[in-house]
Amino acid sequence: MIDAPIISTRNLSVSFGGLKAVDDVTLDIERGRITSVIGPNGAGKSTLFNLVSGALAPSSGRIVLEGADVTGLPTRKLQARGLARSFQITNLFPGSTVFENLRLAAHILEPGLRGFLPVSSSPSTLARVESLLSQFDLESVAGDRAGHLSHGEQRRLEIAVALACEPKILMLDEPTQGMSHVDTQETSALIRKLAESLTVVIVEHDIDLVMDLSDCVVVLAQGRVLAQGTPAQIKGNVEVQTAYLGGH
Amino acid sequence: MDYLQFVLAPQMLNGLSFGLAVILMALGLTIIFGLLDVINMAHGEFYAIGAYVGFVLLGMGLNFWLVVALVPILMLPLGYITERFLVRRVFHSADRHTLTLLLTLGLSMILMDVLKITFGPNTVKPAIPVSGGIEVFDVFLPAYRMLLIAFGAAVIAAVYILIYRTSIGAIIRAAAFDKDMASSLGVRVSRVYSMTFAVGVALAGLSGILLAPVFSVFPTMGHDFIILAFTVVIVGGMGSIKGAVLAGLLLTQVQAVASLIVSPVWTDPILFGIMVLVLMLRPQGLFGRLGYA
Amino acid sequence: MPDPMVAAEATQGAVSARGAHLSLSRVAIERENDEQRVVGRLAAVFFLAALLFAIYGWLQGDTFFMRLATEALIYAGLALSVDLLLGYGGLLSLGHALFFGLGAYVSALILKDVAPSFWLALAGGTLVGLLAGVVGGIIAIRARGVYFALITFGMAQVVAKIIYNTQELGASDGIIGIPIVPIRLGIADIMSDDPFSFFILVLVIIAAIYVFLSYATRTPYGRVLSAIRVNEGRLPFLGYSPAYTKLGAFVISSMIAGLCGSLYPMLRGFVSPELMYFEVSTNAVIAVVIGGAGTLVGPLYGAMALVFGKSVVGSYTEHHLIVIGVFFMASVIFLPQGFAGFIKDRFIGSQDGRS
Repeated sequence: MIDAPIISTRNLSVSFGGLKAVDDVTLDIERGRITSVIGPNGAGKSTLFNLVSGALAPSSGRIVLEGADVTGLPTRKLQARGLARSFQITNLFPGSTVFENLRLAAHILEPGLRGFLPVSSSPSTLARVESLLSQFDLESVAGDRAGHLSHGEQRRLEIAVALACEPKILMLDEPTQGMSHVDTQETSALIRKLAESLTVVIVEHDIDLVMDLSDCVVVLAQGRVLAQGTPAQIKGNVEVQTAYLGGH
Repeated sequence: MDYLQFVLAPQMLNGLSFGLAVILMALGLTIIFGLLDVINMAHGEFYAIGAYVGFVLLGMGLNFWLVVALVPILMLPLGYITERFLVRRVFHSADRHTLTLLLTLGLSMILMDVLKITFGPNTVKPAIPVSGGIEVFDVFLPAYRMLLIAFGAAVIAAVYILIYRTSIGAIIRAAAFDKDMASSLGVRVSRVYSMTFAVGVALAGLSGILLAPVFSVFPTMGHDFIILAFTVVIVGGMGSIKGAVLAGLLLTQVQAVASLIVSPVWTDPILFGIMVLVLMLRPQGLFGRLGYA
Repeated sequence: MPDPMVAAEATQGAVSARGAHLSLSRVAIERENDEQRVVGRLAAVFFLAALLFAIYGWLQGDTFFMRLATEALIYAGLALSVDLLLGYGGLLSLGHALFFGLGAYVSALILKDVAPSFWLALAGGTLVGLLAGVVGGIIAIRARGVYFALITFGMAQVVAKIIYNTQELGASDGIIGIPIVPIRLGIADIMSDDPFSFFILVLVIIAAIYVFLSYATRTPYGRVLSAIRVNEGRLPFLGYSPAYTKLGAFVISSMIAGLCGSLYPMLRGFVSPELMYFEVSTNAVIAVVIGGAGTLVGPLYGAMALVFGKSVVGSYTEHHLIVIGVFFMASVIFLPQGFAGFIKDRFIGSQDGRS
């Protein structure tokens, strides 16, 4: 039995001025799988991310999340439906400690009124923060300000913060951007582990990582879907090769 | 017809001449914001200083139009010093907007008190330099108002030409758009900033002396005027010259006509309401910013 | 057969490893608490000093300085409300005198025309602060940064001008002849014209406001508010609404301003449109900046310094504005974190293991 896709877009488009940044994109993201979105620079990957995560309103088309039409919903409402995303350019609270960043992100799961009780008084939030610290190997820097972390640590924190609200879908925008080889491998393993319990969508430039990690690959070029399929199918796709992989 | 001739037309004319002076003031404000990204809360005080300096020069017996030419020139170094030694101190901090606002706020307090000390709290009024007027279509047009309109329009045109048609202007716009790029092209960005701020301040001073015969001169005059200047800048678009001109004309006409229809007390709330509406519906104002316009 | 010693050690190891994990959070929380401790000490010093001052003044039979200090406390409350918005939410309000003045006017009207009831006047002032805050907040919140400052500026100007021109509200003279108010507390009865006991009452009220705000900024809600200033854009992705948070803070702030305003007529016996003027708003901002934005305790010191400084300087020269202006500008340039911020930095030191 084939599961219904967890997210679908239908003819999704957005234009800036005269330029169609995302052009008639129709795709399905399968539940519980790792789907990667790749493409040359300017292909519209981040724009697509922005559309799906509610940061940008589409000019036309639809977005369906778990069967419900969520087109045009603001980001906050999408978060409430279980969608979380990380950013290509680290987008944290640099003056606060790692611990505080995670605590802020984790607190959203508490019932509303708990927002008025003293912070750090909720054992479940604290437990969640601690588990994230350990999961992302950030324990040793928990008390350091996020702005003072190394690049790799910041990228890890970036993912951890997105994960803190226990989303169903985790969208990662170039999670390993600027990371060392070792960090990249570790993050890759982490993502694979995460995919056991939630759906992951990644935008990436690291082709080896993508081919190694993904269940499904979507190739964008000039705002349109060039190809979708398994990594093997994409590798063998001639159009993709010419447009992007440059004769691998 | 009588109403038109004796009430509405003169009122609109007054609004027009007032509007041009407001535009001069708003121009300075918007240029400073457009290029330096600085909110100059002391702009009203520079306006007042211009009026007072002009008044002093007139007291020395100089011809009015000479004074009008001198005042902005004298204001230039004042603006330069302000930018170079005060604004620049906080310019590079993360909280720049807030800090420059607060800094210029403090400056405005000091300047206002200095004016009060130097000239006393009382109102003075330089005589209207050109009396009489002409009649056009049975409407009486005061001469000074007409000259103000003509002169103001000329200065505005000059500023526009400077910014958009000269190489200096191109440099200013480039620095507004991307200061790092401009700097790497050899532009002394800090020098441009100081000069631009100076020009903005000079425009405020000019506005001050031009309106002095009409509205009198007193230490808190800047204070009352600044909110209108900011309203024009916001409605027109922060950093937009076209916007300042259009919004300046529009809002002063609204003010002029509205004060005929409702009690003058309500003109301020009306203008404020327009500002709020613009901020809510079209926050960038009528036009965009200096570097982008 | 497993060596029981090794097994025991293994268990120990597991337990202490877990303990180490927990202790990392604790360490991070401890560091937070360190900051609170310094601020708390500053606050304790402030209130204690105020109390000692009151006792000294009572013994000396002084009325002038006692009343001046009471006025300073009332303005300190206004400064607290401004700090909530500026120091935590990053919202600079240049028109908070609006809520203060409205609270004062409503309180004056209640005391004069309805009943000289302390609680009713207080409630009225707070309520008008709430209502005006909701309206003003909905208008102003849409604007960011500079625009927010200008809108709040404009709001206060507009309303002040309307009241200035309203005969029924006393026009430019304001409302005078506020009666003396008997204040019946459970434990004692105070008359509003008794300098000492009214000072103590206002001190208690301001202390209560301080404690409330101190608590509020340490809740998750308060943390979201602080986050707005740093990185507003990320918050919706985390599930929070900056707009609602800001509005909530604005309303709390305007209520506090209204509450403080309602005390004014009881102290001075009159209200005038000047209470809504730009100068009052700016003074609150100055008190916050020189005292230390975002510390809550700083504005308390700042307000006292400002009111007393004005009085002292004012006895030498009429031109206290210049002195204040210079101090303020110097603070913005050289000590933007303010007095309390400076103390905090001195006593906390570096927070990171590596810095």
